[in-house]
Amino acid sequence: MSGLNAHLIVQRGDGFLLDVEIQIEQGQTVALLGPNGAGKSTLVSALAGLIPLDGGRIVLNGAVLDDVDADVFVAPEQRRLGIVFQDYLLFDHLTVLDNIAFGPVSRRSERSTARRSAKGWVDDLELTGFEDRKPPEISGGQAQRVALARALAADPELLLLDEPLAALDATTHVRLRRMLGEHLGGCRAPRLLITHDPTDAFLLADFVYIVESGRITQTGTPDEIRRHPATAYVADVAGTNLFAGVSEHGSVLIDGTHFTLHTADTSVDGAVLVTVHPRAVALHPAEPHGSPRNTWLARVEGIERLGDTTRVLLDGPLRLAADITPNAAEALALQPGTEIWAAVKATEIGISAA
Amino acid sequence: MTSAPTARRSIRRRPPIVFVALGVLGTLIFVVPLLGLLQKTPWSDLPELLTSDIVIDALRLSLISSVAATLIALVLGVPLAWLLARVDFPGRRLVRAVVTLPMVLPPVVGGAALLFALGRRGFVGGPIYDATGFVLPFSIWGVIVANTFVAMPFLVVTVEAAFVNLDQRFEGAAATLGASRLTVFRRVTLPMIAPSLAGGLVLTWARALGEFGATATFAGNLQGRTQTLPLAVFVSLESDRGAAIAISLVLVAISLVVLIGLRDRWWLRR
Repeated sequence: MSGLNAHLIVQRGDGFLLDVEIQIEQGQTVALLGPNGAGKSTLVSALAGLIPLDGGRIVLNGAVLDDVDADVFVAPEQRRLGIVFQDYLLFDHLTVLDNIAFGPVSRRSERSTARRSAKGWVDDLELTGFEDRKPPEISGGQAQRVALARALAADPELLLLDEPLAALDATTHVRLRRMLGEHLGGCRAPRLLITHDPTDAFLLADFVYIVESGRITQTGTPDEIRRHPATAYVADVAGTNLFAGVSEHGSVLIDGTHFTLHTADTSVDGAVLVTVHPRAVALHPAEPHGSPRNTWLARVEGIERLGDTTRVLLDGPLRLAADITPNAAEALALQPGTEIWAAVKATEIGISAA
Repeated sequence: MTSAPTARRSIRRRPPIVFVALGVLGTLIFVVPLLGLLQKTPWSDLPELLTSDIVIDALRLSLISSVAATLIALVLGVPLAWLLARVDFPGRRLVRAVVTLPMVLPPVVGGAALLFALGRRGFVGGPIYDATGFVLPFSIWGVIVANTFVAMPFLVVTVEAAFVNLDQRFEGAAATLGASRLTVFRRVTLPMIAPSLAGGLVLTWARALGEFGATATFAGNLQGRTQTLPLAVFVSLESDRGAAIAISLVLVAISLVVLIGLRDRWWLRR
């Protein structure tokens, strides 16, 4: 069986228990999305073999790497993993080229062969001209690419990316996320992206696992997760607008406001959680007429470009986010402070008992 | 990273007068003896004194034995420091205490202990002598052993601290890249602790070079065989004061060159 099949149980000294199951197929990118303290670093250490499992097993391409019941443990250096660590952990005493060649050299390939293949990665990741520099002499974005090149040059059977973009400033983050996306496609190994940033997870991964407090709380494609967040954390990070309110025959008075949302779902009365997907929020320069049951005048608070969509943060009677196309955003001439009509169909408003 | 300001206002505040007074006094403790040495130096006879047999013999012996002791400390001390820093074995605290004991023990006591253990009648030296006829004390090997005994703790202590302070995640990263434990040690751990290792080696060598008590007790004071520079100074003070001063100057010069040359590079990295 190819790909990664892992059931990881780790009991940390501080009482924290990690218990997650992960499957990743060849060529698939899976994101593990969770808040700080969810156990993501513990999971990376366990997969890498830096800490042993307390239960479960790790099978990579049919080979058992760790199995508590069968008493099998493969040392880190025998596992073919490529890891991009959160703060990269580049070797400051080695040049960029020698950092990248570290894996091949360690696996006993000829030093000249190793350096030649490292040179290929230098070119691929646009690091040409920096080969002879040491890590302290390059920028954060370059260091991130060196870390990626070092992991890929080891020809890994599993690529593990531990918060690879977290240490970067916002501009570099967006640029390197695009670059990372391009290079992930060129790696045939299963790929696991560990992140607390939903945008990174949704843009880079084929499939997302949500991990909270050491457990998987939801799995699905990015689209499924965004549409049907299972927990408040997911709803929050996925950008789905989530409100608490009180429903009466499909009219929901939102807590803390005088605003009422109308939903087609009249099955739940009383305290409810209301979700409105940002894409379900339409924006109009003038008051719309016709089908939408919910319309109100809002004020633009901020505008964010997220890949191929533009997220507009609205203030007014209800604070929420709307996702529209960049073209639409341009046509509406949106600026912070612009007054605009927001509309949401009653059928687009999700409701569940709180 | 913030860019350094191009011009910086310098605000000079007068340091407290008490600090200045005590600081000057503290410096004098070291300067006055040096001046005493320089003041008594027979400068015109110096070339002749420095090339006399007793000085040449002692210098040669001191350099050989101190360098040899430093190399032994390197080969034995680094793995020992690694074990003390990284492996939680039973009795670790006791081993650490015993290894660092010579730092506080009077060297004469150390020399006597060495003599009792490794001498011709010692429980280790006896069997060796019976089997091979080899006698460790009162030979250059004895000097080297005495130097190692007294100086190696400085290397172990310095390097152990470096191993403890090293971020082990770098070694983990190297392991995941396929490096065996020895490769990790050679290509990541050692280079990362290199500044501390260099500092420890210098301290060790300096301590070995200045060693007197353990050497005198364990190896004796035989010119050309076990008489190192400090011993030569002690002997010459009675017989030939000029020679004693000349040898002292040699020691001061070597120490200053090493300290000034290495201090800025390794110890005070700001």
